[in-house]
Amino acid sequence: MIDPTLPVQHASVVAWGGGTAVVLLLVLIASRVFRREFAGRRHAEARFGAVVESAPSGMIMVDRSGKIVLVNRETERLFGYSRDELRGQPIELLVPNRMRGGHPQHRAGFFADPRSRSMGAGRDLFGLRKDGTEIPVEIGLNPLETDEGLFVLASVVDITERKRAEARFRAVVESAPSGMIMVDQHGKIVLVNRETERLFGYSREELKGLPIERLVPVRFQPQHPGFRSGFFTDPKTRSMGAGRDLFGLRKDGSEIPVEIGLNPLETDEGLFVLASVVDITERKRAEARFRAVVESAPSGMVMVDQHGKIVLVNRETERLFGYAREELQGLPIERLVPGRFRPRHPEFRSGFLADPKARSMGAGRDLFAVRKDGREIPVEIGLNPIETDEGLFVLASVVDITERKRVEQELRRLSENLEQRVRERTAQLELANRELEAFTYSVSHDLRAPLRQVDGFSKLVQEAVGSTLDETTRHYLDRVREGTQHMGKLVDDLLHLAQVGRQAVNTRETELDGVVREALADLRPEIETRNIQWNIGSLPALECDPGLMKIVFTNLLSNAIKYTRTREQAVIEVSCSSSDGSTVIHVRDNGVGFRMKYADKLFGVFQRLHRADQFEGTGVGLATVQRIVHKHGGEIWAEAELEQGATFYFTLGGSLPEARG
Amino acid sequence: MSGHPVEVLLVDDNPSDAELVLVTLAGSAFHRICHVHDGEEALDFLFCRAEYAARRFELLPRLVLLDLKLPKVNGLEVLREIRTDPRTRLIPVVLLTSSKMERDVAEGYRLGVNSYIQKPVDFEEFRETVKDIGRYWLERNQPPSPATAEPELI
Repeated sequence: MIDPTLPVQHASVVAWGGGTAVVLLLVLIASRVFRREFAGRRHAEARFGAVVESAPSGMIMVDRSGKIVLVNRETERLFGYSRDELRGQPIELLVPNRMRGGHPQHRAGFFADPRSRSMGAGRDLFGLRKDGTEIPVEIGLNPLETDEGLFVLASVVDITERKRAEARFRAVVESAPSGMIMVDQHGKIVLVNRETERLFGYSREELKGLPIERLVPVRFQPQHPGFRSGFFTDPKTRSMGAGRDLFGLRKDGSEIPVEIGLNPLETDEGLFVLASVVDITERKRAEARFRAVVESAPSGMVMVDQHGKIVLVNRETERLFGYAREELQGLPIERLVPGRFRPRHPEFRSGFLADPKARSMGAGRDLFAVRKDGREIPVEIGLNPIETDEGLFVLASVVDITERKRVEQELRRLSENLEQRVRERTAQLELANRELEAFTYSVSHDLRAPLRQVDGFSKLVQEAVGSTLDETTRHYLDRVREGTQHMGKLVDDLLHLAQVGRQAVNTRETELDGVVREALADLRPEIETRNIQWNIGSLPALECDPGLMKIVFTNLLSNAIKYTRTREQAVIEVSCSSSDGSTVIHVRDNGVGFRMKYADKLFGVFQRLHRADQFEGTGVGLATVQRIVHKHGGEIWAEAELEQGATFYFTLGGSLPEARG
Repeated sequence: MSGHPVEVLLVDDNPSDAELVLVTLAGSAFHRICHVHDGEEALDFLFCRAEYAARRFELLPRLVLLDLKLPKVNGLEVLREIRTDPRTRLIPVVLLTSSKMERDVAEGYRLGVNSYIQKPVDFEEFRETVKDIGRYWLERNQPPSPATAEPELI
């Protein structure tokens, strides 16, 4: 409902903010339409009225006295009044009380110098609604020259939403984990967040309005405005410094290494730059640590970028390859690969990048590297992907295995040598074995025959003339036969010992109780005439050769029987105990015993601790027993006192017991 | 000796051992014993060759006491010959020898020996052993007659 009587002479329009841009456009269109297409004033007026009516911002026309002469639909919506309620009212009706006093003066100022401009000059403006609430607004003022005099056409935009967005933006910026600094085109700081305060040690009040250069170390300050204007001429998001190390200057004069991202920010108020500042002290430290670790690594460390360029090497790499690190930096890694492997290397490289995980290179193939002097060295290479802000790198650790290869070769040679020597030794042993066999054969055959002869014919002599001989001569003949029979037994025992020595041990789980019973059965002739108290405990089943084990028990029990012969009541005990997880078998008697100082002689062949006229024997039995026990991986020892009995202990395999006689 | 069939063929190169065996066997009523001194002579005797050419083949000994370690042809070879010929293969052969080696024992039995005995040094034991052999093989043991055994062998 535009007043059709309102003459429109000229509409000059100026934009002063995003919110009013639409209005500007509309006014512009309106005036163009007016100028070009409609000659008739009324037509034009009607057209203008329609345009104003449908404008998206509140349009209010006010006369010189401050009376509202015209409002559009959006004004009704904004302020909650109908146009009838507004028409003829002073414009101050829509101004909050606290600003109302100064308003007529501002108005007069405008009419004194009527030109399009935004109202408020940077102050926050508010409109007062009919319901008493306030809304933040932005107001553009346009003088409107008509036949009826000068009017002002105010366009009012509700900026509640914009304020909210701004608040949100501020909140986001405020809570950002990096320092955010908004700078205007002149390098003045207009906004900082909490993190910026923390980083630089200034409060935001101190920073606002300061030139950004205050946060730049003195040595970089001269160039900075140049960089800044460079950015504004080509404003796009980018990181600052282009590879150079950047530093921030704190209020206390200290510097911090920083990384800075720059974002252009177009606003109603022009172009700003939002700089995000990250303190990379920690990262720098980590980097320094990484470098230190790499540098001091005992293997050659080579870091390569995605294109195969060497970006970092350590001291050991210099030593390994004979290059200075300056020579290596930037070289393709293939320079360190021998010529014959070079063509395929980039392929391997991209294979690794396609599936980057730590692994060793070469998968079992022998790897070689080539030194500056052209010499090749065998190497082992481990590959580790390193993810960085700058992309994926490969950290290769290179170990010179020349020495290891040499040792391997030496080992191989030695082991071949050893095998050769084992073969030779085995052959020697086999020969010795054959000789031993031949020896035992002839002992068995050739020594026994004459003994049999001596014994046989002595016996025949005894039988032929025994009754006619005197006692002394008969005694002599007896001694001849005793001697031969003893020697026969010696020979038999020796052969037995030799046989046990050669015999393979066939172990199986064996009930030792049964073995003891069998041994005792064999010894029955010796036992029958004696008074012996047997204390035979239960023995476990052990892994052993039952045949050989019977020989052991037969010998030990036979000894016990023999050396208790002088006892009226012989006591023989068989038992076992456990020591260190292995079973110890005991055979104890209360016989004549022996002096412990001779204990080490017990198990020697032909070693006897008793005179033959007291206790007969060949001195081979315990040697045989010891040999069998040793063949089982066991140990045998004895404890005794003269006239106090003896105890024999043995184990079969397993660990040695702690307590030993 | 030639007139009567021989009961025991003793093959031993050791005259003392041989004499002890002969004395023992004589003492236990086995008189018809032929003692030969090596493997060759044993085979000559059995197969009626050389000085034994006149011997009647059919009159085979009822027992061979065979020493192992013999000059010329050793005991195991003699054993093999005896077991190879169908006419002699049923004669009981006892290896009565000074030495005892597992390998010899095994080989003896592989070649079909009837018994393997190591001569004891103790003469009384020796005499018992020899008497036992004689008693067992000449009195208790019942071999098939060559007539019934023969068809089976051909």
